Amino acid sequence: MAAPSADGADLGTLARVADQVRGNIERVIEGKPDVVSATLVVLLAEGHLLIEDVPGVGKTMLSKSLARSIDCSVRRIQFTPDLLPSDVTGVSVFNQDTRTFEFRPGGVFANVVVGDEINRASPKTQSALLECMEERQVTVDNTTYQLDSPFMVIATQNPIEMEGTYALPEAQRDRFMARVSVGYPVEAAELAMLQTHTSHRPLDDLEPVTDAAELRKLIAIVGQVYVSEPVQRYAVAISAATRRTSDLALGASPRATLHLVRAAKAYAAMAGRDYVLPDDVAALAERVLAHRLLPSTEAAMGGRTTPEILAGVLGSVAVPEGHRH
Amino acid sequence: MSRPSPALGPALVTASVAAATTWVALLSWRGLTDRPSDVLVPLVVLAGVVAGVGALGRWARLGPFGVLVLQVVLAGMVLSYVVSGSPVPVGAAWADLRAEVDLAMEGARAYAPPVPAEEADVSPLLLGGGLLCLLLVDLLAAGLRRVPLAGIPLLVAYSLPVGLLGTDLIWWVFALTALGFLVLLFGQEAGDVDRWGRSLEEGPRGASGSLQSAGVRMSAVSIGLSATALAVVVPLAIPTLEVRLLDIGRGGPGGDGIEIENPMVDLRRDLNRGADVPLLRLTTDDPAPSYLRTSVLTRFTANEWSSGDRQIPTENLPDGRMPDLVGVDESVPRSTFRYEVEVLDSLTSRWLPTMAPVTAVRAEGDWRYDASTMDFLSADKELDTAGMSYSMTGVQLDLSAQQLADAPSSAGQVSADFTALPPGMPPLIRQLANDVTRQAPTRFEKAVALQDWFRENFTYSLDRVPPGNGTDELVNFLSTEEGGRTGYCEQFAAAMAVMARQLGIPARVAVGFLVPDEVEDGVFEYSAHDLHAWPEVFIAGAGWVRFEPTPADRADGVPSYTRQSVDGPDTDPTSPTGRPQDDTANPGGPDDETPDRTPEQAEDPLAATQDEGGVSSAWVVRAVGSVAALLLLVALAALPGAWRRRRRVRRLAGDLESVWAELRDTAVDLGVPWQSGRSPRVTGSALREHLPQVGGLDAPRPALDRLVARLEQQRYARADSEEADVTEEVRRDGVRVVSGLVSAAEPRARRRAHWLPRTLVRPTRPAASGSPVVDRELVDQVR
Repeated sequence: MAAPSADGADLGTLARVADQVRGNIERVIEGKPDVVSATLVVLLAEGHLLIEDVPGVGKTMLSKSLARSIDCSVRRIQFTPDLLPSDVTGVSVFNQDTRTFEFRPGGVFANVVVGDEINRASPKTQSALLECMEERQVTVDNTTYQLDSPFMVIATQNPIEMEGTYALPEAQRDRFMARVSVGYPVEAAELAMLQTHTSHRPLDDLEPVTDAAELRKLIAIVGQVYVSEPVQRYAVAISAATRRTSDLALGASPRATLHLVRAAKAYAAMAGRDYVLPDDVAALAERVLAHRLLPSTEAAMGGRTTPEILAGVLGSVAVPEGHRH
Repeated sequence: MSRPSPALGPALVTASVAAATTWVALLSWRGLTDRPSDVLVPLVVLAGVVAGVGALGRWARLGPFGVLVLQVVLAGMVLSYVVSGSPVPVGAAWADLRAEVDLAMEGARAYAPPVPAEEADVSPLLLGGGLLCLLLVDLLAAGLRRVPLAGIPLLVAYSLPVGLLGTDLIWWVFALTALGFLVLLFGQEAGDVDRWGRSLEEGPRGASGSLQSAGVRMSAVSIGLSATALAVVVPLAIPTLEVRLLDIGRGGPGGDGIEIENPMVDLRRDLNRGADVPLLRLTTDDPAPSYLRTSVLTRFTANEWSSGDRQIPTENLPDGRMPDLVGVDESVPRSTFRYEVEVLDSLTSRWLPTMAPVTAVRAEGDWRYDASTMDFLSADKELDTAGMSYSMTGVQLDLSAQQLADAPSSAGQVSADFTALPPGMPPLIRQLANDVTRQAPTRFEKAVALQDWFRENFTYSLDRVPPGNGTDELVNFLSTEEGGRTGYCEQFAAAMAVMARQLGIPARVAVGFLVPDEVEDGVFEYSAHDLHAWPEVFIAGAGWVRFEPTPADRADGVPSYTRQSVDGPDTDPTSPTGRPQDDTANPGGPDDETPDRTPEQAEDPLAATQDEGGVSSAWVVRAVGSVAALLLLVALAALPGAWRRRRRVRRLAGDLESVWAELRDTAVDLGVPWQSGRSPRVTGSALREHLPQVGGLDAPRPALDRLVARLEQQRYARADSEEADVTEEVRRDGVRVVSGLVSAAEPRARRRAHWLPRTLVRPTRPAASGSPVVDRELVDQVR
């Protein structure tokens, strides 16, 4: 790691911006600090976020408020069963005036893409989006178009038991860095929400607190955060343990490990540290890993949920005590 | 830390193993009374009560001392019932109990072990002692789960006979006790690790009932084995005890040995013959040949002394090669002489007369010697001594009384057969033996006292005495009534040997010839009237030593060493060698000093200093030994704590990691849960709860927080982000947290950590263990 470390000033900026964005979002989504913080982690770690919950708890609110807090291009794609892949990626159309084909960018050409109810679209369309997510580019008619940086997809989805949904395949869920559930608000928060949301729309009041250029800088700072060898081993050990346990039919992929460490770097930077602790990794394990894992039939029939199994796995992995040399 | 209530099954197993182990160790007390079953059978019941009550009490979570009280009450009732016939000692039963105990105390004072049960029943004392051992072992091993400590009462119980009996310990008792101890130790180790160890690799806790990985087993077994090995080795290093725990005895005899008949009958017959016929002629360079020994009688039954059922291996042939002298120290000065023996036709014996001790014998025919007695017996029915000639090399040891008196215990050097007596010995014999030897402190001096007593108070006569050397004859011989205190060599030898055995001194009867007459220059002749019997007593360093209790009418000379004084160095310039007067009338007597004897050989400077102040050297040695053993025990008890403190000081003076390791060990020692295998932050926050809540920067909690932060930085931050040297602060913080932990702990936990730190037996694991195999490529990717 010969790269220069993120210095104190950079980390200070990062913490300040993160706090401002957090403050903005929390004006809309009340009483969910950990959900908000997970959202920020994914933003700074250049990942994509999957928000999964029942309708009406503020999934769209969360994604919109994040998008509004950043002064950058924002597109929202409402996924419906009849949405076509070209609606997402863009399409070449024949221009009668110039007599040439010209490319009309689709919904993904933005810094923040809000994919609403992503599991309502057909798998074909879902795939179109997910390819862009991974490659950060769009190829139409043999022409490749780079997507802007930062690029973040915030997808919301209903739990798969709900009607009219196409479940995301495991391979595609794997591309999201983290999944959060907003969950029902506590009573006090719901009461406060009634007071603010009935008189006016707080979303409209949100002012951007940062822009794309600053965000790129912050993402670069996160990239400088140091991950020591014991912490790397810890992350790998956690993934390995998910593959070993009999409670899980599908364990974490290497990409999951990668996402876990990247998220931990962002988390550490937000805490003002230029190095990652095992505690950062452990704190993010559920958010980053849970949506990629499949419980085994026995575990599912025993009523054990993936987070429970994951907690058990985490408890079984010892933190390497390796000394720094 | 709350201790989980044990299940009844395991609690019963632990308590039973503890009780059984103690009982087995108590088996070594058999020699203390002549009716050991009176003690051992009730002890089985007591062991059952202690184990049962203990297991039930612990199951009911009464607490170790509650259980102990219950055990004392119930076992005490059983004990009272056994001793006085009433379970509740009140009123008359109390008086009975007191009387029994008093009697036992008196018996224990009056008699040396084995105490004859008919005279004085010491079983109440032994039962009480046994119960104490049972309770202690149960409390330590099962109640407090401090099995290593339980080894102390076990060891005491097991080694008690050494001090009192001076006999061999029984190897299988030791083996069984050690086995039980190991089982207990293993049980505790496994249990502790179950409670304490991290079962991380094995999946969620509770899924596997008990964690008994190979590593745990190995460490339990290795601890147990080292402890046992120490127990075997340490006593060997203590000179006063000379315990040879694993003395299994000599190798088994060959299958085609020969049975030996009783030679005493021949002696009697030949002595009663009227004519004094020459029997044997000796040609030698020895100016004064000593007694010639024919055979050795080792076994005393109530009816007679006999040579015992000895099996003699075929390889013990008189071909000039002989084993080293038994029990004779290298430093004893000695003279070697060669003897040519010509047996006349008049002596027909199936025993080959030899000098004692003898280093080489060359004789025709199948004569074989018994290695433990060094007497020679014809293996061929047709073979006897009549008319045969043979040669031998004899040794005359230049023994001094001082050396004999200073001899250490002979425990383990001779077979227990040499102190064995039949049950139901008449108390008179013991009484007399004790009375006669009351003033004599050492074995040797006791033997001399016996010899002198016989020579001064008895009369030699062949005529008015019924032959025989059984118990009844000996009682008649020893009594002061009409016809008593009169006898011939057979009775003198037999009585002295029996009395010596009563005192716990290994003794036997030798049969052979008195001092010969010189018939021409260098030729000596033994005749029928020289036939004789005498006792031999084993003294460590000198081997089997001859005594002469038969009065001067018959045997006019006694061995010179029995005439010497043992009261320290003789500084009288007129007697520079310290050589006492030999009262033998025969100037060329058998044991007269050889002319070349030097003054240096006569005295042992060490022995002289030990005898200063008139205190017997044996007692000094024993007292010094006891004090040394006590000091050793104290030192052993203090050792773990001292070792632990030393390590603490060393670690707190080290770097951050070693300070952290010390925090972990302090926590483990104090019973504070230590989150092992977790990040410093998690471990620290759990530890924080166990620190006193005091304000200020010096308080342990902020100190712990600083340590955690520094540890995180050291372990996980970039190597090049070195800060200023904070070692001093780290050490101060380490001391703060450690003292905070100690001050917040309960007094009991503190005491335990002080005396018996857990980290002593459960070393902290190396840091790298448990880390998974790492896919290097993936790690690089992550980086």
